[in-house]
Amino acid sequence: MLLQKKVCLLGAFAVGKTSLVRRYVEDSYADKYLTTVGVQIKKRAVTVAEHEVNLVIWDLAGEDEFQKVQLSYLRGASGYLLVADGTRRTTLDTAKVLQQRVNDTIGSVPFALLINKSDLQAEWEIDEAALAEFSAAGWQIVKTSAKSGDSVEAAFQLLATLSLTK
Amino acid sequence: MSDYPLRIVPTPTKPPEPAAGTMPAPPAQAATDQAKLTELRRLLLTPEQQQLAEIQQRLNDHRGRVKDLSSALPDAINARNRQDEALTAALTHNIGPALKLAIKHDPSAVIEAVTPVIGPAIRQAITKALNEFVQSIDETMKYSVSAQGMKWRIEALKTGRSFAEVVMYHTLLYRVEQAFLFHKKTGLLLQHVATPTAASKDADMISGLLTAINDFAHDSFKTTHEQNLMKLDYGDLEVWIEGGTAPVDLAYIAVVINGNAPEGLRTEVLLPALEAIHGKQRAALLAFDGDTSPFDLSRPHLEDCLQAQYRGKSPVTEQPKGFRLPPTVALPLALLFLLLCVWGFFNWRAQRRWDAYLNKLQAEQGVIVTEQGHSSNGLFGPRFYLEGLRDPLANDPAALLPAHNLKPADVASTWKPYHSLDPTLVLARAVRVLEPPPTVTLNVENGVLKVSGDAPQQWLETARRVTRALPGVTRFDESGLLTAEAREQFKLKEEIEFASLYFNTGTAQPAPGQAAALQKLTQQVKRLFALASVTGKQPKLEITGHTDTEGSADFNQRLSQQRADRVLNALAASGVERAQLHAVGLATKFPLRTEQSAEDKQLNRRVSVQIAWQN
Repeated sequence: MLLQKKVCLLGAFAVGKTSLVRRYVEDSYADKYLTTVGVQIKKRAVTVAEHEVNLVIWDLAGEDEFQKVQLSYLRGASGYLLVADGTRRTTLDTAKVLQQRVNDTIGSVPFALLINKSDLQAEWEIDEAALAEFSAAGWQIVKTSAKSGDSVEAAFQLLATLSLTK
Repeated sequence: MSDYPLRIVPTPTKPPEPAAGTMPAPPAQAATDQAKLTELRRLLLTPEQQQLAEIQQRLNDHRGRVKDLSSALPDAINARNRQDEALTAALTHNIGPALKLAIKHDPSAVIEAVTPVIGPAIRQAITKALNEFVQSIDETMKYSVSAQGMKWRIEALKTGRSFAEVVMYHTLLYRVEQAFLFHKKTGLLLQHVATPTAASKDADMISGLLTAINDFAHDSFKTTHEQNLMKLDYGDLEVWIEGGTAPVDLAYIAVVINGNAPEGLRTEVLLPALEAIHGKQRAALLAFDGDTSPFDLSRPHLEDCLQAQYRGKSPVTEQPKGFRLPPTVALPLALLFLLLCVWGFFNWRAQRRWDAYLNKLQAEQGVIVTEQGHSSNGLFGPRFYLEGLRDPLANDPAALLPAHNLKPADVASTWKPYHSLDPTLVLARAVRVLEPPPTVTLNVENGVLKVSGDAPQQWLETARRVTRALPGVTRFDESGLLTAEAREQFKLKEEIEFASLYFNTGTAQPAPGQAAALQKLTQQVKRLFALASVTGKQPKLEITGHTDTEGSADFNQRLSQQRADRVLNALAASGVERAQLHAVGLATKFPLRTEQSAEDKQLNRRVSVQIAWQN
């Protein structure tokens, strides 16, 4: 049985959402930064607990002071990834705010928090203490690197699994 | 109750109530009361007990129960169906296995039952396919013979596209190339169909993007969710989205259209399809959680949306009819086209034959083609013309025509005579002019005419003279030729030189019987000289006299000279010119035999003749 699941990526601008999707879907990475306008849609098939799942991945434009994430894009999503940039503390705050807004808009949907750019661990502004607060609240947290590919596969696999439990 | 006879139930007698303060009744009294109570119970409960027994019996009676149920079942089914669909749902699971079992037991019954349904369906499908086939032929034929068709054919040649593509490009009003069914809430693709030729990217992503665009429009223009994106234009392509209104609002149909579709497509095709899908799969749409497999059922409805309309064909379209030739014009035109094809074929074949014929002619000796081509004499004259030079002795070019499937009437040829220097023709000309006797062979090599064999002298002389005027012959070589006269001269020479005249001992008197030999010699010599006037070979005779060894050397010298002179005189006397004769005595210098007998001596007493030629 082939299942279709819509999942979304959201977070502050330039945290690496598009790079994560690109690493996951195409297994490639480019250093050049290109801002996403609106939304990009990609897909990849995964197997979760013997189910073939077609993940339709909506990569939403990043949130910044000029542009808010269009939450209507989340309609019908079975799960989402909040992405923060380990080297910018503020992106974690953005993630927190976004999660609240998503919850208010479409209700409780499974999600996971990704702290991206683990290849730049030395420059990180987010420490374990900061994350402990989120862990305590029951958030699933994965440290990833779109550049090295570290834990990217695992993060999306987690999301796929979560989306099936919805 | 009506099964039971009317019963009179006696009014139950109340047991006398003991008066307050009185003692209980004695045992005898109690027994009586018990009996009365039993009687009372019997009287009161017998009918109910009987009924209970009967009910019990009916419950145990299986056949009776089946009968009861059979009378109630149809009403029960109807009643339940009015209430909800639970019964249908319950039965659904059994229909498949039941049908399977029925087919296993008796396939013919099922076939009989199904044939009236499937038969027309198959017929309809075949008719539809045939119609499409006929239409496509019709379309191609229509544009093959029209002026428009020719124009398009040129366009196809210029642009490198196939003719069919160009026809479609010009005649296609619109064609629905793809149809998507997607879930309104999630934007996920439920089902997708496309024409075989449609250029289709990943349908999942397309449906996602359409949803995203729709969402974007909602957010950007603050519309309500009841207002939907209706149409996207992209060059020749349009995307139409039909969202429907409640209750037909759980899914969208989006179609990709090439060309300009009429608005009727939305109301007459897309909306009915969407309604049909909602009607059939409302529950599945409501419960959708990512499993798209139930929506295979909606595929036929989406396929219905893949419509195409060509110019001048459609009941839906209001486009004006395309230009079409009436059959009275089209048919003769088609015939003409056919004739042109046939004519073209024959022309092509004739040209091939003509080329082959020309090649053969070029290789022919004594024929030089200077001009050739298609004759301008119109349809009925010769088709080709030829001009050139031809040696009269060369093969007749017309004789080569049949071998190339050409008729002499097909070719108008003008030949001017010339003398070819090809060796074959020089030889042929020599043969024709010299008329050699069968014993003579002619040969031409590098301009030299060689004759060999035997020929009369007269022929040779004529040949020598005539050859000088023969074109292509620079020299006459007769070294291989003997004339009859020369041959006779040689023969006579051999005979004369072989023969001898014999003499008596010691005299210049011929031996007995030698007169005839002398006579013969004289005849032969005379003939030899007579032939000289023809052959030009003048003989010179050396007459030698010989003796045996008897007698002295001087005597023998004189005697041998006398013998030779005697023969010379005899020849001169018969008319042979004396100047051509020379006599010499050789005495015993050249004996014919070593003398051991008289016979040897006789053979040595002789005169012989040697002949030399004087030119």
